[in-house]
Amino acid sequence: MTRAFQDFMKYFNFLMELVKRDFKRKYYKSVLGILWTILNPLMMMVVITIVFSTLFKRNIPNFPVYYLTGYVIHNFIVTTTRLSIGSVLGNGGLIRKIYIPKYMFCLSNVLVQFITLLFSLIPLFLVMIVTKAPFTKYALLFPIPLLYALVFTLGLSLILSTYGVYFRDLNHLYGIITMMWMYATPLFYPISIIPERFRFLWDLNPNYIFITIARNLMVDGIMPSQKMLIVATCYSVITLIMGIVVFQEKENKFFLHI
Amino acid sequence: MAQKSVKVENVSMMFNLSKNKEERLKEYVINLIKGKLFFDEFWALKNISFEVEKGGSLGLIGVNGSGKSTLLKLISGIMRPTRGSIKTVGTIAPLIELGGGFDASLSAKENIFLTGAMHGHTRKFIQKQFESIIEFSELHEFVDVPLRNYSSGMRSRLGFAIATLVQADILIADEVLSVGDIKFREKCEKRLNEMMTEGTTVLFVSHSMGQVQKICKNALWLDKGEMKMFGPSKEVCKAYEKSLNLGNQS
Repeated sequence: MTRAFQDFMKYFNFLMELVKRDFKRKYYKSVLGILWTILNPLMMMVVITIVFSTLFKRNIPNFPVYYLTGYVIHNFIVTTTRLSIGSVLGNGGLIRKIYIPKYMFCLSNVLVQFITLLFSLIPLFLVMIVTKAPFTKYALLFPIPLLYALVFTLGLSLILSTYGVYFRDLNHLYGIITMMWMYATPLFYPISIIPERFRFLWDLNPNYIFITIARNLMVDGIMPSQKMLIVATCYSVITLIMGIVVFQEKENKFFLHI
Repeated sequence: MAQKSVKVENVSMMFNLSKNKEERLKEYVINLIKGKLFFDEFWALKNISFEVEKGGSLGLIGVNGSGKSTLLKLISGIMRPTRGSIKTVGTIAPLIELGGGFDASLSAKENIFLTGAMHGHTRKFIQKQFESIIEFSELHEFVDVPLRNYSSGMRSRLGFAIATLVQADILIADEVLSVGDIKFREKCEKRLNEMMTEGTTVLFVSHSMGQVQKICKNALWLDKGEMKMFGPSKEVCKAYEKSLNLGNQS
């Protein structure tokens, strides 16, 4: 344990350099650069609002804010995990040549995406101001659902980056899974349109829990139920533990498969 | 007795050569159902034992595929041996051949910081060494040029400068001096000698017997993963060259 911590401290600077590099790569030769992080959610919001807002007008009072709160969190989880599949594999050249704790590559991907998520909160706040959505004191608790999403994503990323090394077609499979996941998450529809007897399926979806907590705080201005918070904690912490266990077990065999 | 820097005891390394490499989930499942997950065992190294003193140097020689690079990878901690144990004292700087760890879209400056961090150094430390790295690699005018525009000679110069100037306790050089012009090669050899007097241990792989004899005190001859000969580099190199010549004649 102390050994792992020492290793982490030794390579902490490497993690920072890696994050810097990945950021640079992400916006390499793009004219607008980081602005895309702000523009992208706004454009998605405009499209989805035009298509769906009249349909769910009665159930969702402030559709743009409702959509954006869910979208930024869901998008962070899905994009990060999708990119994590190649995060270890893509750095295979390094792993074959020099000893580096391999989870660093996974962690750097998660950090880069999390910083992106923080930037995409700017349009969320902008839209809240423009649509005159009320800011309550509960909005101050917004970091909590973000933290849940971060821990959950790190765990899932560790698992996916491990199996990404072994099975190269995980990427294609995951594309289909994420599409299903998007429709199974109430991003642009209210949960009330789902019949009561199927609701339990939605409760199994961690993303639904995370964005519901976020919406309670930002849209409804109420405290999320204790049950929700406990379930969210379980989802994120258990996923992280699973991720660490899976990754640790397999990481020493990575170089044979890269 | 001098302090030991690298201690390798009865190390063996086995690889599974899978007949059908399951890189696709579908194939894996099909093979699993068919019960066809067979592997061929391949021993890349068998019972290797040796020691290198602090500040000493060891040349590894042998034909291609004899296990030299595998041994270096085991020592640098990239892989774990199947059997046996390896003990190293201090930090290890692998001299990545042709700057394999570099990122082509970043400039030399950014790569220095990235590679330095990869070796586990702090930003402050790299900052301190930065000037001498640029100095040594003679890349003053190209500091801010992305590495994609570098020639391979420039890259390897940069790679050598970084690995040797970060003051590691053990330097691992895998066929690195085969690149660059004569002038730079001489500079590198000089630098290696300097490092050894400062107490750095050098592990050196080369196909040039001249270099091995010049740089290393001892040499280890590997043949098909087995230790064929271990001793003063002059004798080992001579025996190795003799065996090569015999092979050519027959």
